[in-house]
Amino acid sequence: MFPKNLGQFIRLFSRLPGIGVKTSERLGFYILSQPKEFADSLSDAIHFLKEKAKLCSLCGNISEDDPCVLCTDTHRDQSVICVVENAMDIYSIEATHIYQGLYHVLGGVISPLDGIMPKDLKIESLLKRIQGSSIKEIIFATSPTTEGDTTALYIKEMLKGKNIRMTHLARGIPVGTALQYAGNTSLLQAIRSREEI
Amino acid sequence: MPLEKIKILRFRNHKEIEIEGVSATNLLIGENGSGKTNFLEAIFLLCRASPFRSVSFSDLIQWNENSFYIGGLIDNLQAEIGYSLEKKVLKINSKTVSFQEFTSNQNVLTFLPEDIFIASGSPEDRRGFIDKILSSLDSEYFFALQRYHQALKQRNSQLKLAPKDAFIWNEELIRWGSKLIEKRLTWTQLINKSIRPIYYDWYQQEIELKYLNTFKIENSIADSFAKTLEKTKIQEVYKKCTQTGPHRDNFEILSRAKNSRFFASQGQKRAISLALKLCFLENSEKIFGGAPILLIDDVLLELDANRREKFLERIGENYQTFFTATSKELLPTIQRKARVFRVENGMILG
Repeated sequence: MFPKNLGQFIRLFSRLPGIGVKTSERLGFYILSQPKEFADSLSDAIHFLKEKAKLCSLCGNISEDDPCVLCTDTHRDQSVICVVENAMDIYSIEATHIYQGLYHVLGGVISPLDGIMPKDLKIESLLKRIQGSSIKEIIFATSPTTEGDTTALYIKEMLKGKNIRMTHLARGIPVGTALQYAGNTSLLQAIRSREEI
Repeated sequence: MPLEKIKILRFRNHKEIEIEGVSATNLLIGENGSGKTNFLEAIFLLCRASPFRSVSFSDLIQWNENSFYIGGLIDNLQAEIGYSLEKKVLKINSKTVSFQEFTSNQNVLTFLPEDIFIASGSPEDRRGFIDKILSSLDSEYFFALQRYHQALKQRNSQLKLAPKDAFIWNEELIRWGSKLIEKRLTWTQLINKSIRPIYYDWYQQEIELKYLNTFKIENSIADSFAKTLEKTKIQEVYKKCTQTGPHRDNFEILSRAKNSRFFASQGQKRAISLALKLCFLENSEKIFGGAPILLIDDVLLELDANRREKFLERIGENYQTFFTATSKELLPTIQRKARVFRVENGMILG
């Protein structure tokens, strides 16, 4: 039986995604083995994470300011919105340095099997944002699954008749891998959506 | 020779089996429950890295053990599959390989007792049988089937929670559903082309695989599907599930416009399932090349001697085969050319 405090730590940490009870135990023992300063800065980091971070009221990004730096940056292209499932996806796309437009975080995908309906996502706020704006294109960066595709199609349906270009990310072979390692269906998609060279 | 040696450890009821010099034709003789089918399944796993039916890998381990191992020399490659505590290891020539690489090595085809469902089972059984065959011949079919069923599950769930929004799922449902219907139509034609001569040769009767879609197709499949969904809208809300689409399609085997489930004898039903598997064999060789190993489990005994010989003639000498029977006198032609193994309580005696 673990001491009460350690037990509490383990239960809480094992709620984090990707961390089970065993890993949580190891983390607990590791923190105990470290100087007190480490534990203090770790708990500060967790405390201020929630204290200082806000959700951007425009795009749903995690940010210290509201609206976030991406929404207030006037150098960014105000005519394109990239729709993503989670705020984490913004950072993946930003890391490419190629996209210069705006973002919108949905907070998931439509999935009645998990009890998630359109009203549970930030779809209404996306439609409002587009209303009367200069948006010319929406890029859907949702997952290429039944649910991700359906969510994109649903939003497309909601915007029917508005003169906006709607695209989704290309599907096919990952760059930098040999053809032989691409799965059958990925390869099939790649042949379908082949490009002129 | 595809399979030359095989070693099986702690698999189902086989504790330890090691066989060298596997022949082109092999006959396994043993009582019910002695382990003949398990031996065939071991060969199947070595080629496909999955069991006959959808059971979990932990169910394949021998009672009171916690791992199993199957290794064999196939086409001069050393293939090995091991499983312990939720972990599966696939190796070719001692190197760990992906599922895709492991299974691209040697093809295998089973003739199992339950194949008779295609002629006698429920509509779900028959659809399942055809789906399984087409999925392994056509990877796009498999993908469309998965996407269709996911969209269907979500749509049915939507119908329970908020039926007025069920239309959200229509586009995915129609897209993949139409693909399935299109492919079922084409494949039915191909299967009919090859099943007719085979069955006629056996019974001098015309036979036809009939594909019955749930709605009438006018113009495009997708349009007709969309229109039908529109028509069944009210009914759906009331019944809380999707009323039309490929998940309700039906396959029937007809002879002179009569349904096999009613006209065919047990032997004829068996013959229909064997003929279908032979069509599958023909098409699979056309698509993938290379002769599969044939695992023929007990299915020949329901045929009369004359038709049994005709079936064996069709297979000819082109394949490595594994037959099972409870006594060797039952399959005299095979016995003459086969290496015979006696199976007793999970032991195999050469």
